[in-house]
Amino acid sequence: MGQYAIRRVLIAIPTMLGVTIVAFLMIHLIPGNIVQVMLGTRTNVTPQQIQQLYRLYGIDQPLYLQYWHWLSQLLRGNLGFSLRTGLPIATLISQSFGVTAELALGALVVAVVVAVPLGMVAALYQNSPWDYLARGVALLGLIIPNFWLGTMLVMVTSIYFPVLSVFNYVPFLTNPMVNVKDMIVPIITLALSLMAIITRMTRSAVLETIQLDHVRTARAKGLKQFAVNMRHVLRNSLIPITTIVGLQFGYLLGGAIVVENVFSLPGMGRLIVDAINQRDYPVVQSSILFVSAIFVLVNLVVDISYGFINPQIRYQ
Amino acid sequence: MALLTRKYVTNEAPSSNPKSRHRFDAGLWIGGGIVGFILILGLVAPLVLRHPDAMSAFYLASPGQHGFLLGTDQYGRSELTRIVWGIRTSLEISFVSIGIAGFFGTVMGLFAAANRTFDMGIMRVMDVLLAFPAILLAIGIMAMVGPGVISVIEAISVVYIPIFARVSRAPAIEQMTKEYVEAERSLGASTVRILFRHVLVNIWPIIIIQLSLAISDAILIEAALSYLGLGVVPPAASLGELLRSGQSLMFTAPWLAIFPGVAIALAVLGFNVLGDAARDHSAVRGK
Repeated sequence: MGQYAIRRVLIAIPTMLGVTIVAFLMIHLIPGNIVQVMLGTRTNVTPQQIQQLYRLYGIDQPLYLQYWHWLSQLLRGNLGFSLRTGLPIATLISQSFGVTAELALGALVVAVVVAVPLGMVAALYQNSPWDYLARGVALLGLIIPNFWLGTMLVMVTSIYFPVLSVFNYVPFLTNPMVNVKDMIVPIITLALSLMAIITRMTRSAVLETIQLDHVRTARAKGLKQFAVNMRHVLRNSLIPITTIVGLQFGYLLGGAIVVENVFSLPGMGRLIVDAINQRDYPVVQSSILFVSAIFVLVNLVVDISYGFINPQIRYQ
Repeated sequence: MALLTRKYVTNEAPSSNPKSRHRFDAGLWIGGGIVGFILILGLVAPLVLRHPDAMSAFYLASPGQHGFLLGTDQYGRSELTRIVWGIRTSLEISFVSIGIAGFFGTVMGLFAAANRTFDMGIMRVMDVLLAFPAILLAIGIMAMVGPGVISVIEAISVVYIPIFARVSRAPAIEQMTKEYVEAERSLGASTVRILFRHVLVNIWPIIIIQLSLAISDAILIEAALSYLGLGVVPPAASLGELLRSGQSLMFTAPWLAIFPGVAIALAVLGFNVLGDAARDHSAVRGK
């Protein structure tokens, strides 16, 4: 097991380095360079001052040296500074990431809590109304864009549940009740597509498991139907379900970035989009790098924990 | 999953239900029907409809009023016209970007299957691109190259090239071990000829199916980018852009926020059902 974990970590390191390279190169796609963007249309700058700025940002150096300096700063936790506000980007991210994480985790919990029982009931009572409901959820979650769903939910809640349709973000620690109330609609919005995937996965996993011999044996030895379902069917279906949940969590981060913008929540998505609109490229670069790093990390943890759950995978 | 994941052609076994063959056919018909309907809408739009920017004297007419089936927006422009033109823009972007991604991705996948050194190098690059959440990578590219139709196409292409490289590489490697490849080689055929005249023909169905699934994703990504204000910019109409401008008026003119979303969902549904049904129908398995 230890060996497997180490191997996974070793594979993740070059990927992570590659991610930093892409993020680094991203900023070189912009028209002109960072100093020109910063100066904008200002004309009261002497060439000497421009040279100084170039030196400050290291733009006069060869690309690989720039990358090296940038990376070494990164590893010390220095993500650079905002061009517009001068604030350290690490501070901006630490203020925003909590919202994104809360949204993603909340959506994960809601999706699992709804989808696993729904998928299971759908499989156990095939072609029942529950099954049709489950299939409906699975289909809708696949085709409805979450930003549109968010808009629709805002419209509906503002008519029927006006309390829920105010989105002034309050941190959880400041006022948990208000925070939860304000996050319900965004979380449901983000959860639907994951719900669809988990429902579909649970349904097909359970359908496969109930055909297995050990389930028939359990039933034959006189176990109650409920006990068979919980102890033998559900437990054996959990492996594919946990995998899909883990793998999708990273994608929830991406979804959260869009959903935040629907509800104007001050998370990573707002940070990135606002930075783009202000042409604050370093903030965009570091934020994307940060979220992607979390994504790689989450996938790594999922991979390793999957090895724990399913011993077969370790020996492949 | 809407928007978040890049869908693969997976090796999910086709359903073991013997009756299910009929359902697959239904899927092909339904998916094909929706896709056909949408394609026709996009194609005939300029022939039968007015220019999407054509204004009228009826501001914010609700659906059905004054002969506007889906109402009008704050400039008196027909929402139906704009949605049909929006479908056209969205389809153009998705087809071109997925076409580019499909072409380059497949070529890379094929060469990766034939040459181990190239494989090692290029697939590491692809792994890195796949290490980004799709929407985030697209947002990052848009942030740097600026808004506009061409930028959206660039962003979606880059996001999807690794998918096609992976999807074509695995079956191509399998094909390369087949006897006919050996036979070709002994006849003196070049690697390029073997790859494109023979291997490609044998893995073609997988790529076609992946194209259909990827287009449904591309429609969603375009919509998301434009919705965030990073993609297609007004006055050009794309489905995401319509949704963005409709959202600000959602309490006075809810139809402007509702219908573009329905159009997106319908388009995504069509390409998804078609891709899924085609996969089950031909029982193609990736990898």
